[in-house]
Amino acid sequence: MKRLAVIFLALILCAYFFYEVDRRRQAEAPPPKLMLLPSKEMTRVISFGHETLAAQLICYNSMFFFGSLEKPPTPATLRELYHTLDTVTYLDPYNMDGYYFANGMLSWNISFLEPLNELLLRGMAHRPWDWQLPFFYGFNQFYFLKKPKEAAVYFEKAYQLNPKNAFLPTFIARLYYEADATEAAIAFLEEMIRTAEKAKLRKYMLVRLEALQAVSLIEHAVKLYVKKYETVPQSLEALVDRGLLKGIPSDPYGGEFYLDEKGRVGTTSKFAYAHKKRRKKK
Amino acid sequence: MLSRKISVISMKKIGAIIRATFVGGVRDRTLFGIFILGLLLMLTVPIFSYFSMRQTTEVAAGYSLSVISLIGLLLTVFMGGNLISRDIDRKGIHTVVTLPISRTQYMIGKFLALALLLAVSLMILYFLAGIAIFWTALKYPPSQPLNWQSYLLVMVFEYIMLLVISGVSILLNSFATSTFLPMALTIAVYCIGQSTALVKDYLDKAPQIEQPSQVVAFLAKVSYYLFPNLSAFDLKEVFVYSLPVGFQYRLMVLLYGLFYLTVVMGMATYFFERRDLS
Repeated sequence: MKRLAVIFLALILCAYFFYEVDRRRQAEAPPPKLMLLPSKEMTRVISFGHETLAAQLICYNSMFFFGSLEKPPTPATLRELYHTLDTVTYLDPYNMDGYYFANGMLSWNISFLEPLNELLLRGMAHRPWDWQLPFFYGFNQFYFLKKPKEAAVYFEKAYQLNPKNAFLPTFIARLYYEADATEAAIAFLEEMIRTAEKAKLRKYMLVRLEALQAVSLIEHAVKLYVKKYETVPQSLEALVDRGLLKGIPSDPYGGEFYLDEKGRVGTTSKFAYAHKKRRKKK
Repeated sequence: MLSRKISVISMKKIGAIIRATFVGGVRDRTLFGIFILGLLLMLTVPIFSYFSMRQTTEVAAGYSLSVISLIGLLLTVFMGGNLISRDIDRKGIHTVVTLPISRTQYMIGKFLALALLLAVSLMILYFLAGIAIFWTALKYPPSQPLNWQSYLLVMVFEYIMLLVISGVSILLNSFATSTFLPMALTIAVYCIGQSTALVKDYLDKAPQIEQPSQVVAFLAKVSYYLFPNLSAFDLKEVFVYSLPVGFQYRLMVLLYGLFYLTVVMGMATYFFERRDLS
C-alpha cells in the first residue's frame, strides 16, 4: 500500500514537472539552427553505409529549421543551407527532397543561382527519369538568368520525360523564337505535332507552327535584304516592294507582324490570342 | 567409403551443435524480440516518411533498410559475442570438450547456428518492412516502380555482410578472454569496413586537394586491404531508387564475401584449437 502511494505521488509530481517543462520550453529553447556538418566527404565517411538515411535526416533538419524561421533568411543562412543541401545531395545524389528544397529556397537569390544549377545538374545526372529537375533548371535559366535558348533545351527535356505537360511545347517554341532560333522552334514543334496524341494539343501546336513559319519566312526575306542593301529594312512593306516577300503573311493569333528598329520580326499578338471582348452589360 | 562415413558422422555432430544453439537462441526469445522490433519498425515508417516533400516511398524504403541493417548489426554483435564466451563463462565448454567432437566442428556448428538465426531474423524483418513499404507505395506512388527482385537481392547481400561480421566476431572471440572487448572491436570493424573504400577514394584524389600525411595514407591503404570492404555489399540505393544492378560486379562482391568469411573462420578455428580452456 505504501509503495502504491509513493508511485502515485511520484506520478503526480512527474506530470506537474512535465507540464512546467512543456510550458517553459518555448521561452528557454535556444534559437533553431542548422545542423553543423563537417565537409561532405567526411560526413559520408561517418555515415557508415547509411548515406540515404543520413541525407534524409540532414534534409529534415534544414526543412524544420526553415519552417521555424520568423524572418526571411539572410544570405549567410542561405550559404549554410547551400552547404547543407550540397552535402545531402552528395550523400544521396538521388534524393529529390534535397533538390526540390534547394530550388525552392535558393533560386530567388541571384547569387546562389549558379551553385544551385550545379546541384540540379547533379540531380539530372542521377535521376535521368525525372522531368522536374530539367524543368526547374529551365525555369531558372528563363526567369532568373534570362537565357531563353538554354531554358528551351531543358524544358524540351522535361517535356520528353513527361509529355503530359500540355503547355510546354508551345512555350518551348516561343523561347526558341525569343532566342532568335526560329528554325529550332519549327523543328521542335513539327516533331511534337507528329507524336502528339491529343487532338486539342495538336491544334494549339499547329497554330504556333503556322505563326513561326510566317516569322521564318519574314526573317529569311530580312536576311536577303541585309545582304543586298547592307542595311536593316525599316518595314515589312519595304520587303514586299523590293520583291523579297510576296505579301505580308497573316498572324494566326489575330495580330499583325512588324519589324523593330533592329530588323527583328515581332507581332502585335505576342503569339497569344487576344482576350475575348467582354460581354456588354445589359 | 570410409571418408564418406566420417564426413557424415562429423556433419551429424555439427548438426547437433547447430540444433542446440538455434533452439537456445529461440528460447532466449531473440526471435520474439526481433518480431517486436519489426512491428515497431513498421509503425515508425509512416511517421518518418510523412515529412518528405517529394519521395515519401523512397524515404520509407531507405529508412526501413537502414533500420534493418542496424538491427542486424546489433544481433550479430550480441549473439556472436555471446556465442562462445557464454559457454566458457558457464563452464559448458568443459562438457563440450569431453564430447567426441573437435573444437573446429564445435565452432563451425556455432557459426552455422548463428547464420541460421540471422537468416530467420532477417526474413521476418524484411517481410514486415516489405509490408510497410508496399503500403506506403500504394498511398504515395514512387517516381520509379519498386523492383521487388532488388529487394530480395538487398536482403541476400545484407545477409552475406552480416555473416562476414559474424565471422570477424567469432575470430575475435576465439582468442579474447573478455566478452565486452570483442563486441566493441566488432562494431569498430563494421565502422572501418563501411568507410575504408570511401577514405581510399578520397585520399587517391587528395593530392589535388591537399597533401595527406604519409602515416594517414599508409594506414588508410592497409585498412582498405585488411578489413572487409563492407560498403560493397550495400545495395540499399538500388532498391530505394529502382536502379539497375551490375550482375557481374555483384557476383564478384558475393564471392569476395564468401572467401573473406572462409579465411576469417579458418583463422578462428586455428586459434580456438590452440586455446587453453582450462
